[in-house]
Amino acid sequence: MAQSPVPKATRLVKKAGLGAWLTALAADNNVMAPVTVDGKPLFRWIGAGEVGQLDLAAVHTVNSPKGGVMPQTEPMLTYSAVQDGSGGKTLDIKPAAEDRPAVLFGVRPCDAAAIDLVGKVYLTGEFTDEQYQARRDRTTVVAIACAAPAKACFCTSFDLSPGAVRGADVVLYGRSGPGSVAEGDAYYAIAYTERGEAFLGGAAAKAAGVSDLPAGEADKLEKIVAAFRGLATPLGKKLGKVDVADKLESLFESAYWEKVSSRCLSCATCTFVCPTCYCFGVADTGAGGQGVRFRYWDFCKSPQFMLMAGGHDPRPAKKNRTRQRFLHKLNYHHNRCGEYLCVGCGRCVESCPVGLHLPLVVSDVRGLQP
Amino acid sequence: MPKSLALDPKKMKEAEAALRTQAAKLLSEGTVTVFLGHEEGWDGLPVPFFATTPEEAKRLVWNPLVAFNLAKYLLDRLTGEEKVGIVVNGCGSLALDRLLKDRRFPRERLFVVGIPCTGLLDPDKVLALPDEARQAALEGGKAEPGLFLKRCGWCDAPNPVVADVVLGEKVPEEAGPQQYPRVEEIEKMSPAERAAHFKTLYEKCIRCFACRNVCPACSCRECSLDQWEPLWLGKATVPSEQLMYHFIRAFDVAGRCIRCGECERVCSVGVPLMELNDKLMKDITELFGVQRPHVPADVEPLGQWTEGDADLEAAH
Ligand code: SF4
Ligand code: SF4
Ligand code: SF4
Ligand code: SF4
Repeated sequence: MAQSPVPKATRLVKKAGLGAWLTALAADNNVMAPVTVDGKPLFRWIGAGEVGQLDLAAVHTVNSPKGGVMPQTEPMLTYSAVQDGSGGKTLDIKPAAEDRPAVLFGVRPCDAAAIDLVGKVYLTGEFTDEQYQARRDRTTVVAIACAAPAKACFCTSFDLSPGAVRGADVVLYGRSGPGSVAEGDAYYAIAYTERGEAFLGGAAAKAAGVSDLPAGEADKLEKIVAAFRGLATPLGKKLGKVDVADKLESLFESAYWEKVSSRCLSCATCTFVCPTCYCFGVADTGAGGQGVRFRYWDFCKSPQFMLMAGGHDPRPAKKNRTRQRFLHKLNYHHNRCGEYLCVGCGRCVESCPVGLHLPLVVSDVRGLQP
Repeated sequence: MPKSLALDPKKMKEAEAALRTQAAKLLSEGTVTVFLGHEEGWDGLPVPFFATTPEEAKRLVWNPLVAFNLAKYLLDRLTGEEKVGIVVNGCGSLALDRLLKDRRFPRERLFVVGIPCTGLLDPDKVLALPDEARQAALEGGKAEPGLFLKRCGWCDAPNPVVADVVLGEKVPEEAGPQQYPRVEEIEKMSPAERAAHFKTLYEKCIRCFACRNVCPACSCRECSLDQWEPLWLGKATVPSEQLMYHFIRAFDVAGRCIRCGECERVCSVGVPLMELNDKLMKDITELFGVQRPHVPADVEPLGQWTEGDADLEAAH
């Protein structure tokens, strides 16, 4: 377990004040929050008018909030051909307009950790993705600890927990502690970054009635936070710590990949709902000498993902693509960054139409002969 | 809900035993080299499974949760001479027949084991039940109509339409006209309401293509929606492209959709794909007098042209 993070500020927020908080935030920020649409919990950008649909009860939204920092479609630049005065044309290129600051509200600890985890890919090493950096710099992540982890949750199979802080500026902990979905009538709002501290001291927080902690409640708070962090997860208990990185070194050629991938539909469900999948493609759209270059989510399960001009495909079959997805998460990334590219959110478990998901592969790999 | 849907787990258990024996026999005699069925997955739900030995055939399951249509996996086996075994219920056989009528897989390379169907339950809904209720449904057959797969509600073909051998007795069929209540509601909307409805309908689609990839009527060698040159479907998830995706998908299966509802079932974000599919089927009935537009036929209404076609009249 990582060392306990140090709180920078601790406040109390009434559940009844959340709506006012979001409404006030929406005035100056793009706000993303979990809402239920036709029975499905989804993370969406919401306007002040949709604040009433906020739904913090569902542990898992179908999609993750990754679109908050990596929009599925993100303009990178605009271009237009302009007359240059001597009868010719030059290309005028402008960077995409910046969005307003963003608040990702009600993010689960696994999803917040995923933002930090993926951020390492974009922001460390030889190159920095400037557009991603700019977006992260204007994003505040408000997480909410999980009082009742879902059946498919296994964050505890990594160095995370239902009360973890990684990737979050502020974490909300239900005042009555874990165990009940209802979470009582108030949350402890704890800031762990300077951004979070400023956020809790801001005007929007005041409008929501965010207040100081009642005297004498510090002890109780500590116990409750510890209880969230010590909470087990249903699938995590079954799976244990993920431990297959080394073993996978020798399994590249295993017949297992053919077998397990045979039922895959080659869709993008697992990739697009996954908070730690981050691949993108780049395309242009435009006409009449002007247009937009944008990036969009791409997915390694697609037969088009590696297809090259000329028709060669280095990953021609489902077995190659399935192996890539799981080795990336369970071996390559681990070798490079020292951690798995998975936070145990369980979305692939819940959403893959044919039950082909990361915990299954982990458990299968343990039983394979090297 | 058709009356024939008296969910019968006991009957299914018997069929399961017969299926295992049958598949093992086919594999050991070398009639087929692989048998497409289901096995129990990690969380207890069945997942598609392809048995290659008599030993593996013992893992095949047949229970109220075998919702998955298997026929689509035949497209992974287009090359080669091997003979493939497959198990189908009623709707599974429609999916298979779709591929056969679209000449996407040779009948000679198939051995089809059919099982008459007493209804299937929605795996997601069953998984969400408390333990006792789940057991009552899966073992006792006590299931509210709402627990069934949506498609069971309009099914009029519970007996396999293609089979080399049938395990178990035929179940009664009630072929009445298909109903499209949701389409009727939408048809009653004003044009402005309808426009608003369709605008929001596809907004939440994440363009994962699961709906297309699971569909037995989507079997083109190269899908136009995947082509880069020309780029029919732009990569941006903006409203115009979302509509483009959904309209092309629906129109490409018009007249060939078997109303299995798999597209809607696998959609993780809950896009109601059957609205458009159903509208097109209802139109086919009204324009061409085809009473069961979801059942594959030798001559399809949209696959021919006659001078008396109602849409010609309508166009004038
Ligand atoms: S593993 Fe599942 S969700 Fe992922 S591409 Fe295959 S079928 Fe789709
Ligand atoms: S691989 Fe699965 S469990 Fe891991 S982060 Fe992605 S969706 Fe969540
Ligand atoms: S209901 Fe959906 S998946 Fe089934 S055949 Fe029609 S379009 Fe395809
Ligand atoms: S399955 Fe749903 S989310 Fe995926 S492409 Fe189809 S409609 Fe869109």
